[in-house]
Amino acid sequence: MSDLADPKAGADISMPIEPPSRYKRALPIVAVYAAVATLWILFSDAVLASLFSDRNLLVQWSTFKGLAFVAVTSALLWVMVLKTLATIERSFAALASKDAQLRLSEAQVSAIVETATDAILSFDADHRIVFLNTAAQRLFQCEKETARGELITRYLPELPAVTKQNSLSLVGRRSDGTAVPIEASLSCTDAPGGPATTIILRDITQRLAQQVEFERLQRLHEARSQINRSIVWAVDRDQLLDRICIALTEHGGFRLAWIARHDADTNILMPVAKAGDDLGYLDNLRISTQTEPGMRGPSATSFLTALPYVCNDIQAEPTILPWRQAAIQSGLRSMAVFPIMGPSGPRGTLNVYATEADYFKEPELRLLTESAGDIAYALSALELDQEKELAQAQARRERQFSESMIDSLPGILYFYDSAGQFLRWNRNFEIISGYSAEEISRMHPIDFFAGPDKALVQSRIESVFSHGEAFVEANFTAKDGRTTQHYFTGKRIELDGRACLVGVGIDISDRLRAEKKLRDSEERYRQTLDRIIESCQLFAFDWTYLYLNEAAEKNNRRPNSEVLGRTIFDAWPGIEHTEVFALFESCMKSRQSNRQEISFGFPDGLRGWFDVTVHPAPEGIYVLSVEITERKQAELALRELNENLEQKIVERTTALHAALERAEAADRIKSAFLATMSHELRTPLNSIIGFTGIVLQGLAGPLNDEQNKQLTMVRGSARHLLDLINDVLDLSKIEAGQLEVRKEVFDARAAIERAVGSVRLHAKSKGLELTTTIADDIGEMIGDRRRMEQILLNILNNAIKFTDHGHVKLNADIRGDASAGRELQVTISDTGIGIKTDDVEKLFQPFHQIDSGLTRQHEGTGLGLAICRRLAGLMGGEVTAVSQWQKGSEFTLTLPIDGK
Amino acid sequence: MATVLLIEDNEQNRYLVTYLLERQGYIVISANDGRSGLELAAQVDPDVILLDIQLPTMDGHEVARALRTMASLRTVPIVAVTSYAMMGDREKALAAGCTGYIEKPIDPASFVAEVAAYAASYLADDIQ
Repeated sequence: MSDLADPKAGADISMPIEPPSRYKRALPIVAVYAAVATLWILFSDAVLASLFSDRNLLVQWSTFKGLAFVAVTSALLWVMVLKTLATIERSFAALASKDAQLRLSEAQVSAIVETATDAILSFDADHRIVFLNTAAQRLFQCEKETARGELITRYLPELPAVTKQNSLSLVGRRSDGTAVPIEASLSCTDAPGGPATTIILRDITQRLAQQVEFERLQRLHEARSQINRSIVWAVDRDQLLDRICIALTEHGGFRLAWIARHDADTNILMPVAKAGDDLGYLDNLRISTQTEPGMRGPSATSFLTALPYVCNDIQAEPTILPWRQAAIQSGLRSMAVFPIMGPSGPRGTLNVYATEADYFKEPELRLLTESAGDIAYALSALELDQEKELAQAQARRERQFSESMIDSLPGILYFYDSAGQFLRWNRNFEIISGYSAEEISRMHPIDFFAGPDKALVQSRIESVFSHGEAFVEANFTAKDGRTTQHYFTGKRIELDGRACLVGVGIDISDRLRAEKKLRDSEERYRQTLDRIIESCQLFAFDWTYLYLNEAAEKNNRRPNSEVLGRTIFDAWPGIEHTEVFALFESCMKSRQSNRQEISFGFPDGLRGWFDVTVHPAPEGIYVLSVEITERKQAELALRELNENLEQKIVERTTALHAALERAEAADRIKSAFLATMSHELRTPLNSIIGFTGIVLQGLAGPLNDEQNKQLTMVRGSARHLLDLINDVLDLSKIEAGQLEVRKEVFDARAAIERAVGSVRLHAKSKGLELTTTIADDIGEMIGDRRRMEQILLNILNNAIKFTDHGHVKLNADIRGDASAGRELQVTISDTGIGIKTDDVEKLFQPFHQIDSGLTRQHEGTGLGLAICRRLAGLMGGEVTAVSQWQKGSEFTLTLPIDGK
Repeated sequence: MATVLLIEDNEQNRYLVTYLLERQGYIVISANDGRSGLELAAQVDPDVILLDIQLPTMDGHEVARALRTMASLRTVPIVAVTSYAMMGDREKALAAGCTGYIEKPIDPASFVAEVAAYAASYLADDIQ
């Protein structure tokens, strides 16, 4: 039963339904109800009959069924009646309300008019105001009482007499004379007092202002869009900034717009772009960002604070500001400055000026700030573009450089991918191959090789791609079939994720020819080396024997095959402790040649001597050696001999030194002894000679002949003793180096004659002929006269003493020349007993008288000639003697004339 | 006749010289050492002084220097008569103030003449 209720519930009786639709909606509901009810009546009994066979039960249930039907239909009917009643009630209430509204009072209308926001006033045919509400009073700022009866034209001068226009804009005039924009609508009514016009007025000042503002913003948006367009198309900064300024003046409606750039060096904001400055406002402007805060202008302030600076009424600015006067003169009333930001703070400012005051409000400021932001962005972008362009130019230059480098490379350069597609090659590649660039681009790297080289190169290319790098020597085949031996390199590189091969090929045909020549030459040298007498061995850096020649076999005392390929340590155990290895090692380390004679002990115990030369070699070192064992042994023997000899010499020298010292000591003792002896002997001789002389002179009385003879003998002996003492003394003085010879000028001729004169008597007494020959050029000389006379006298005395028959001859001459030194030569010859040749030199030794048997016959001290020779030596000359036994002697004294 | 002061320690030599000079008429006054020689020289004002070099206690060089300090003897000839015949002995004697030098042994034949020559030169100076 419940589902039957739904269609009925769907009909909202509360909704006002138009009559035709009302029927349309009611009809199906009733039809459905009729159908359901009919079906219920027809089939419900049949259903009950099938359920209950019992007749009583069937009647009972049939009754129940009928009651239930009545209940359900009754309930539905109740709901419908309730809803209908409610609708009727609402309709009545609405009718009552409308009636009440219609009954509003005149007073209420009046109140509504009074409280209306629009001004309402009425005037009569005479244009006199008959009514005005409070809003009108407010609009015209007048008193209701005074206004009523006044002419409407006092407040609305433009109002046409009577217009049919419903609505119009006009300018009203307040009671104080100020104008006010007004929108008005008029209506004419027939009032009881005659026809009247009612006018509803509205103050549109605000709406007009909003419109102005709207237009401004419109312009600003336009300007901004122009600016952004300029930014998009900007090619350079100056042009961009100019366009921005123009956009701001032409589209944005600004009287003046300019952009300043801050110069960090001078701290000045320089105008770099401007528009609308036909006033010349900027001509005398100089904006320093270092001005004191009090005197700082808008631009500097904005720049320094990085915030917009707004001045909505320039006239209201302090009069002392210099820019203010200029701005006013230029007719500018308001201005705003916006910082243009750079990467690190403001880089400049955007300045805009308007001819009206109070131009800049929040939306304008926001828009302009955004524009300043756009400009900053554009400038940064431009700079980035410039940097990018610079970088691109640099890249272009580098590419040109690398390209020209590639093209100028000697040899050929190639660059291809793993498929063998050439990507890049140099000019030489084309020249050498003879193929054009177009042909090469279609060729495969293997196409440039022929025969077995193809496979070889292929395998190397593969190895480049698999291992990264490879090299190969192969014949490069040109287009005309000519081949040239090349050395090719290949290196794998990644280019855009692709494996490629880059490499160069170098013509090595010259090098190969040179290598061949070198090999031939090496072979010749090697053959020579094999056969030279010197042993030659080559060691690698790891001391392996790399080469030995034939001679090495002999020196090593073992076949080369035993050592070749082995290390030196392996071949010669313990060699690292030998001198020869030290030599090798020093060369190996220092890479310096060296040569040394070294002995080497062979494993068999024998030693050999070698003259070893070591040289650094590219492989290690090579060692040249010659066996010198025999020579060394001879040398050793000789050295031993020498060492012995030297030892002996040292010993002998030491002994001689000792002897010399002893002799010198003895000499000193002798000299002291002689000096003392001389003195001590003279004292008694003084008495002997003195008194003998006195007695012989007869001073003490006369003597007989015998006494005279004997005393004469005493005096002779005493004088001889004195001579002896004097000679010994002289000799000892000479030998002690105490005797000095004079160097004075004297007459040599006179000295010689004096010496001869003093022996003349003696010679005559012996019956000897004494002859003297003195050369004419002998005159003055330098020397010790007394000593020269002593020498001559000694020699003359000897000559006379040892000559019994014949003559004694003196011959004086000058020898030599001025340059070599002139010498006086005095030769004294006799025909005396002579001297045996062997004894001649003994003559000059002290205490030596030839043939001592003759001593008694020829008295003398035996010191004379010794003294003579020494004296002559002291004077720079000499005494020499030649003699013939039994024939005679010849003594020669030679002295330098100039004493030197 | 001239007065000779002989300073000599050896008796024989003193006798020899005295004998030779007195024989020739000289007045010889002898002293046997330097000190007494100096005293005598101050007393007798000799014309020649003969001075041995090797003397006891005060050698001839010292005596010569002392003699030369006496005002009266500043110019009197002092002749060294000595057996010092070694190198430099003559120079040493002259440096000590001696006028002459006669080496011993003296030659009796020429000795007096040599002394006379020294004395004569002194006397001649005196006269002048």
